Amino acid sequence: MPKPAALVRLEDELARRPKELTQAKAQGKRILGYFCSYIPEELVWASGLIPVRLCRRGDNQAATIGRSFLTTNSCPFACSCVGLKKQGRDPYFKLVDLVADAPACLQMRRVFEVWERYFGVKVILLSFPRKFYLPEASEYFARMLEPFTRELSDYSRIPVTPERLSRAVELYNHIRRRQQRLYSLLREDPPPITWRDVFRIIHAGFVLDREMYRDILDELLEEILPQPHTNRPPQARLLLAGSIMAPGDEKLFNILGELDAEPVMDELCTGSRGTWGQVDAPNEGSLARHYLTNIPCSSLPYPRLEDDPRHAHISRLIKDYRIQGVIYHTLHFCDAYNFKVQHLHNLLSSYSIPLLHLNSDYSMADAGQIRTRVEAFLEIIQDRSA
Amino acid sequence: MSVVTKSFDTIHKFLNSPRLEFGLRILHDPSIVTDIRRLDGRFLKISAWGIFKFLVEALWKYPGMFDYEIDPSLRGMSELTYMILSLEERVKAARKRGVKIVGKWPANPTDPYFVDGVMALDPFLAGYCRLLAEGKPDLVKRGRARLSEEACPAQAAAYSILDEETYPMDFFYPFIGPWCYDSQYCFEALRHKVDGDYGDHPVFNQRDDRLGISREYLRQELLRFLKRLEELTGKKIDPEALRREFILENKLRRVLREIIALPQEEPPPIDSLAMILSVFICSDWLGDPEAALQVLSRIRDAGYERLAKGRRGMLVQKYPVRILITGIAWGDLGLYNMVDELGGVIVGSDCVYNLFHKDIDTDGDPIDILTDRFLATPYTWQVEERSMWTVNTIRSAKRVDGLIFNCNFGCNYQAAEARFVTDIVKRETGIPCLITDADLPKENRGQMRTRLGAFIELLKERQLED
Repeated sequence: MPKPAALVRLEDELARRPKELTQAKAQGKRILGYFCSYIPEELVWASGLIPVRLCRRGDNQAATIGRSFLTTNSCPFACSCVGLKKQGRDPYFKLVDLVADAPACLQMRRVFEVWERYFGVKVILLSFPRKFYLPEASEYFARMLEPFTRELSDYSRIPVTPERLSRAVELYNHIRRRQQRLYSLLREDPPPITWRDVFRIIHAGFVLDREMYRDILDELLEEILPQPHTNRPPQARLLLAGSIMAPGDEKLFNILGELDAEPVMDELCTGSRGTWGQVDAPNEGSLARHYLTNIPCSSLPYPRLEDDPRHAHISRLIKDYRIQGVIYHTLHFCDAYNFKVQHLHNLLSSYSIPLLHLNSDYSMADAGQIRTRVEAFLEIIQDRSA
Repeated sequence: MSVVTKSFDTIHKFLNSPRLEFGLRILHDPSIVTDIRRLDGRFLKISAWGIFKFLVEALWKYPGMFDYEIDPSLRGMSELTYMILSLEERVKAARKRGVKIVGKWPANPTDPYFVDGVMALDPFLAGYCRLLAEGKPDLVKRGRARLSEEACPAQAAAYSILDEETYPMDFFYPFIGPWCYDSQYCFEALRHKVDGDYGDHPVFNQRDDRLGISREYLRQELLRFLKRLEELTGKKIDPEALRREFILENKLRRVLREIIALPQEEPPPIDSLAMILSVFICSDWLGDPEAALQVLSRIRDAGYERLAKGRRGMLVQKYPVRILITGIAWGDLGLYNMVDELGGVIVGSDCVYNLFHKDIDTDGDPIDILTDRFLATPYTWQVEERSMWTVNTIRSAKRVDGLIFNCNFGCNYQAAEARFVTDIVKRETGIPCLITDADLPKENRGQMRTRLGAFIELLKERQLED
């Protein structure tokens, strides 16, 4: 199937974006970087700062540099975020004027502190509660959004007026609706678009101008919806879940590609997670509720097994996307995800869904081993289907 | 080594160790030991015969304790060892009597956990007690197999003792946030075994004016925690009883500060292991703050007596260099013996010191006091402030010649601060710093000996220059 024109445009815009940002900076605009999806981007946009989600898989060298600032026990993504800044080669890491941190992942908290101390980057810390299931936590988070917004405005010198916030909420709700629509297409068999393309489209939204991104999403949906579905049905309906998979983290995808396999859905913070739900009103309370009580990241623990919202969400995805197997990909030392494997395994066993846990990093040393395990996993699924 | 050879080896060690001599001395002079009694008189009763029997039984019951040189002639040390090794039995006995066992994590302040009808248990410490008794790291290995191969040894041991139900636990209520990162996930992985909830200590910027809102949120969390304890025990918590606990724990904190000041004296009257075993217990007072106070007071008094007589601690060499440990203290107790043998002495460990570095107010609303208590824990601060706290600890100490920042395998909480803290300490104080990596007890001893030996040599050279 030929590549949709909107997708080609998206790629062109992505290639142009670093230059655009450099020009915007030269014109006095400020760029705010953030790592975690718990930062309410609506507020950043409404304050006139250019939001960029700093989410890149660095090379092994970047991770090694990062380790010298953090520890060999830190996850490769955290190390990479330090290393990329130190290397100064990645345009987005280079261009940001300041960064904002809502420390859901506490390993990332150290990354910000290293950035502040060793690289002299201004950091705005958004105080963050961990009991996402408690209404009082949402109230607290809402109260903390007020000074956060003030700080953003102080920096951009553009006040976040109700009108600007309203526009921002409308824009981001629209984007989320469109992204959700894309994900819903993956339920079809065969789907009109591949998961890999959807995943790339989501990533484009981390850096592109958000209004332009919204328009591209609209164009894309208009373009692909009436098309006949000529993609081949996937050989196994896989759900990909686990630790952060940053743009550029292609090792697993390449292996899957070689084996002619691909997920049909993900449960990743760089994928579908941020696309669920809508902010119901343009105010701090609604933003806080949306961000805190949406599908929770594993870095926020939940004390009860019987009604764990993450399990409920994965169960829903299994049903809605007719999942046959789950690949749970974790990064080394990402304990928030690693420590949960046993309970997830028990949950999936109750549905007779096989689980493949891959614990890896950014080196290629384990590529052969992963390939063997994925191959065996696909065989298991095929045997079961037969 | 065969089982028989190993047994003979252990017996040989025992016969040649100061423990036998000490045990025999106790039998001839029972006044050396007096009972350790909790206020209710139930938990501990130690007689001279009991101690002797304990030392003999320890041969096969706690083979691990023969791997370390614990100073038995330091008054209070045998009782402390007894408390450590008997923790399991005491927790089980308390639970049989209807006491509720509530789990906490190491750095969480103990004060709010000891209310009427509740015994606090820190699974980290309990895991280490078990490791000390067993003398082999199987507990950690089993924990890693089920939790994660990348779990730090303390997490893995804590996971094992709860998953295998070695220790009973009625409820788990750790405070999470800027504390040990992985603990929250370790407890989450134990949800199939233990009911519980979290206390939410939000990560916030302590440098700005938003402290008030965050403080109030934490205050409400502490109230929720105490309410949960009331539901658990069916007893109303008396604010005055809480205040009495603060006063008792202030006494404990003071004694610990006095104990860690001892190795800074010349000559150091207690060795590194005696110091570290004493301060380690601040994590849950081994389930019994009253008994802990008596035992620690004895150790302190014995230290003062030795100091007055100019006597050195058991393994302390002449004119040792003084080393402060920060990060996470070594779980391998043999390393403390090693430091002494190499000519150093450990004068404190930040990871526990940050829990007792100062008293808390006892006047005013107990919940306000507790809130301030939580906020006054330097390890929860931003790393710049936490580093300056270590700098100030060094500056206000009588003598610190070098700093060791220890990183446990799997730890991304303290370990991620190692470079940050040591950079600041070096800049501000000029003392040499060493970063070590440790994992299972008794592992990498050779490498550690080389590194510690070189570091202590460097410190000694500087000492001579001065």
